[in-house]
Amino acid sequence: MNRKWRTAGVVALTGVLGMTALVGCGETPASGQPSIAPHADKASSGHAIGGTISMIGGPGGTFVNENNPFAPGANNSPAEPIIYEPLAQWNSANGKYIPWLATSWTWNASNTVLTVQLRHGVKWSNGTAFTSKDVAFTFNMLHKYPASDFNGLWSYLKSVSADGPYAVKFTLKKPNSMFFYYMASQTVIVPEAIWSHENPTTWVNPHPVGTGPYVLSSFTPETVTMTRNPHYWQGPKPYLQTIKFPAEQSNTTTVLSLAQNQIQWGGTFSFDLQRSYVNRDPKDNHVGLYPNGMDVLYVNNQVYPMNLQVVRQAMSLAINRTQLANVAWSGYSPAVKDLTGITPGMDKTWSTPTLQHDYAVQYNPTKAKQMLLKAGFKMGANGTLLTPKGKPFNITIDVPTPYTDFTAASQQIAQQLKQIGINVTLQNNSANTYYNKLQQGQFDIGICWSPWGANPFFTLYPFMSQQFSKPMGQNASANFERYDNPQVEALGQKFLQTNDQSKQVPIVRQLAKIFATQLPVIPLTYRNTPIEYSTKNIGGWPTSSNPYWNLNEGNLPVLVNLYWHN
Amino acid sequence: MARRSQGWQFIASKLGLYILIFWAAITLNFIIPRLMPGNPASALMAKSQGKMPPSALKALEDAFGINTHVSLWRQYLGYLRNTVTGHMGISFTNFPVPVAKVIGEMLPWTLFLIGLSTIIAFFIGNILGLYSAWRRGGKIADALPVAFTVISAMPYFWIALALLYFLGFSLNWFPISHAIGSNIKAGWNFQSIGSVIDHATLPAFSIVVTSMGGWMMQMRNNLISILSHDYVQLAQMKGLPEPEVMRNYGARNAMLPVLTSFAMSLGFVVGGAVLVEDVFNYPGIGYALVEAVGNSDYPLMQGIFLIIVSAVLLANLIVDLLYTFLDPRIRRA
Amino acid sequence: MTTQTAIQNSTVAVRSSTRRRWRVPQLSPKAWVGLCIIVLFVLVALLAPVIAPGDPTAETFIPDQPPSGQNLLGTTALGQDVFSQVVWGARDSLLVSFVAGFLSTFISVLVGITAGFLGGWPDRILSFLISIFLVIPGLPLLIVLSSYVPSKGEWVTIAVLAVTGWAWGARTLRSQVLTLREHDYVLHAQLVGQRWYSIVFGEILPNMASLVVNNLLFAMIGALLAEAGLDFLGLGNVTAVSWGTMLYWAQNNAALINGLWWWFIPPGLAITIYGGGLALLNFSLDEITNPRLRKRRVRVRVKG
Repeated sequence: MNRKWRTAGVVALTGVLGMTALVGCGETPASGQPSIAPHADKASSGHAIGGTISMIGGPGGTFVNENNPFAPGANNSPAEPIIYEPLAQWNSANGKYIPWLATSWTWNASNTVLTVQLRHGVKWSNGTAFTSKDVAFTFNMLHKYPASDFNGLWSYLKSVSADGPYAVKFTLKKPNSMFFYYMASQTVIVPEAIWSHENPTTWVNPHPVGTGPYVLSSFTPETVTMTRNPHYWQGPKPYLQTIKFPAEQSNTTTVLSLAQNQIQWGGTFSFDLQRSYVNRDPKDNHVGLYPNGMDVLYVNNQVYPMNLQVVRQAMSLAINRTQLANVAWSGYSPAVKDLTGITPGMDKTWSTPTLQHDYAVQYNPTKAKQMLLKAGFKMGANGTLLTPKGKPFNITIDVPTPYTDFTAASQQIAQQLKQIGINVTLQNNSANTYYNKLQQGQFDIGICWSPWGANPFFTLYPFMSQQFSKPMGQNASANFERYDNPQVEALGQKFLQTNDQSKQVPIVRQLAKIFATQLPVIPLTYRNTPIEYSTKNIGGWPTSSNPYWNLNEGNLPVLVNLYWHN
Repeated sequence: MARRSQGWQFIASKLGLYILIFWAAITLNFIIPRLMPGNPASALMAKSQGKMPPSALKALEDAFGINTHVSLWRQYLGYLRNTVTGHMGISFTNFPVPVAKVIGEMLPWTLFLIGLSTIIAFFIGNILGLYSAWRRGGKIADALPVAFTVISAMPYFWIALALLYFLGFSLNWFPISHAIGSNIKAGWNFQSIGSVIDHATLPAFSIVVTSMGGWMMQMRNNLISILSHDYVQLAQMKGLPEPEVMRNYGARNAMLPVLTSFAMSLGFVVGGAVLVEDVFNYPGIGYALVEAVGNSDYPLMQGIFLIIVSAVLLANLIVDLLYTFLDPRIRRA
Repeated sequence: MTTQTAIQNSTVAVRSSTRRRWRVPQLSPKAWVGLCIIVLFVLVALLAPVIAPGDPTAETFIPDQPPSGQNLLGTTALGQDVFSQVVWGARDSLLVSFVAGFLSTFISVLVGITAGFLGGWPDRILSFLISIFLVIPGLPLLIVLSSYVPSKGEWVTIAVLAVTGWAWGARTLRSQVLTLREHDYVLHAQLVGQRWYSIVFGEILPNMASLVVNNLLFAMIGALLAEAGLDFLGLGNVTAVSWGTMLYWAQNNAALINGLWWWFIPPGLAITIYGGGLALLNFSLDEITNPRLRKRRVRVRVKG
């Protein structure tokens, strides 16, 4: 469809570029401003307050006044992520956590108890003070309402309790090095006084009270308006007086509005933005590309002959990723360079030049065909390969038709695989059916995005571990291809035990090696969602010289730094 | 007295028919989603990419009210009760906002857009039809039906796209999306109404252009049939002035069948409006329907479908009632 | 689709007073134009491999090129040849309009004749069914139905179109049958003990042949436009090439904003011309069926 958010992958907004998993670091500033301003020194002197920005806010369509971050619906009011704040922000631009509502945190020696120190002087927008009781309440609420626990925190947690007014203690069932990322950066805090009377799964929350830089000032299904919160704890930030979120549904109208500078910040996947947007005002119209994971080809490891490693390797060789990247993804998402599953930005810390070299991507259909012939496949009469069992190599690629980028890429992959004699049929699906097929393992091959998080483990482990799988016909949570390898499980347990990055790195490298040789899924491109923004009247954006924030990971840290100029 | 009771009988039988149709439509609405596979809760879980434990799926399903073990018959009874009392469930994408609220915010815009463009198309179309029948043999009068025959075969959305691009974007004469300016608060004041009309111009125009041909053709055909009747010819022979013949004998008699299709055509216009709203980002229920389909938001889809059916049924019922009082033949029948 | 409403309503009023057998009506110039257009498109669809050899979805050209000698209608943003897509797209669009048109007309004829001919309770049940499908708006029902169908393809679209598109025709045909049934020759046939099928096929159907063709043409236009609309919304088979999916891809890959008019004008124009051809033919057929529309009114003026 022509829905900008309907291009796949924008649902998940978490980071990928992390270089360190520095949970438990003591070097974070103890209090004061988070040091992420474009020019930290100037920021304290501040900019004049005023001005308005119009921006695209979240999944398409008109808005409903629902500001509940814990309701399981997909469409929330765009105001919600600016009203509620997390304890820390994961900054994938530099691989560090930015202390937000928390100022510091420490683990005990056995990595089972985490103590978080909270910021003093933070107020809810109704004037009451933010304390440890609110934090403890928020997490305990998720225990009571599992449908709101999107990150599955309570599969690791044993208890959460306040430790004085400005400290909170998290006790884990057993060590888990993925916990901090989900707890601190992916969960926002809500006020106990208001939420204790409500069911977080079903409450609409029409008059939100949060700690964030803006408050909801007016709401219509077409436009949500927010104004500056004068009591914001990062004062004098934010500088912009007003934020407007016009509801946009289609690519076309969004890009037209951007081109007419009616919108100054968008996140639309549209073909050739250079021509439709940047070229109309090259000085002020910008398109930023911010990585957030990979697009991969899921290959069902339980279906013959894709359960054979050589078949997956041959398929990988036969796919022309450059063509996919340039055409289906309009050049925004570059082809993966190697098969390790470690994305650029993370590679310096987590990968090695040897790994990158040994598992560099090749495009060689001739070699792919030879590999298959050597493995016992035969050339059939009509140009279709016969499997060693003597059956024609016919498979189906499932296509989620609402996602135009995946659809175009699937068509190309079908054509490319046909060239080495694999007969690929396209099967169109609604998005819903498509997810169900993936989860239940009822597919041959199909494109989807990768899981990701603060480091490559957040990608590799869910891809390969049985923890994320289920028997065919039941809903798996991430390992849709049903890859099974005891070695992966052992390595995973070792990783989860430790928060020490120097011990984690070798484990990730071993996992990457398994991933690249076994190819349980076939990496295609590094996902980049283009973000359009205008510098005509608004300054303070992250730039290539000062990339202080990855614009694909939430807009709050940037919004507080934007300012109006003429 | 006898006459009047027959009229009531007619109304009662019509009312009964519409209630039956309504029941059939809502039953259809109940059956279709239950025949198809797919589970929105698990789709939501897939999007969370492995972060959500499988135990949460059950909780989600409970929240959405799906995959329950209540028997189909009881589900159906509950559904009937909810429909009659106006409870249309909770939208999945806008969870936990009720479907009724989502629709309530969209419906006025669609009623406005469709109402406006249908009325305009009705008047222009009928006047052109009268003209074309009356002046039959003239160049323009004979070219009109041919031209509109071809125009009616144009896709609504294609015309809308072209208008959007040329008049909206390239020339910047009209707004390209939304129903009202983002700085304007909806209300009964000059600025607000002006903005609403400005925003409705292009969508309404594309509906009018493609739908008025129908009115024209019908009026023309009816009038031509009537004009060939003996009594009209007689009136002409008697030397009555042409406009008077036209008014008293032609137009009046040709109007009644046109009224029927006025109600009937609403269903078709609603369909066209879905596409037009989609192209122009117009926040009506057509746009919401396309959104809901894209998000597999079944409760919202069902709700919108129900509203559309009810609206068309209601329009038909009103026309039937009007007919009873306008056309004596029905009362006697 | 409102034309459909209007003209079909008017044909309800048509009463054939003379007994007619199967015969080829004389065609007006308008009908000839319409017929030629349809034949032309059918030829294009059949000869697609000759006119535009190769896979129309192949991305082998330089993207975003305006019309030129090499690419008569330019190329898409994906580097496909627009001309080739328009030619191949005729196959899908024509297939759907023909098959869905025939299917729904078949249902119309079946239901209309059964209801009208049998009368009594079968008529009451069928009339009720007709009323339901008449009142339920077609496109929204189509959208809802096709969104539930787990896998998309032309045949699904055809099936859905046929299921939702037959009611108007059934109603028209039913009332025509009711009228015909009262005619002397039908009554006579019944009296002499002719079988029901020989009455239906020998007496009734031939006398409504032009009405059936009328319905068929309308159903075809309706199917053509509805399919284009569904495809445009992405609810059809977006991986197949049809005029509707061309518009879908043009819209989604920013053809409008990037000024690639050669991508979205030709498919819409193709729909309009082909649909216009069907409509012209129908328009002239209507004049034949309804002699009053054809004959010029004799203006009698008595000067006094």
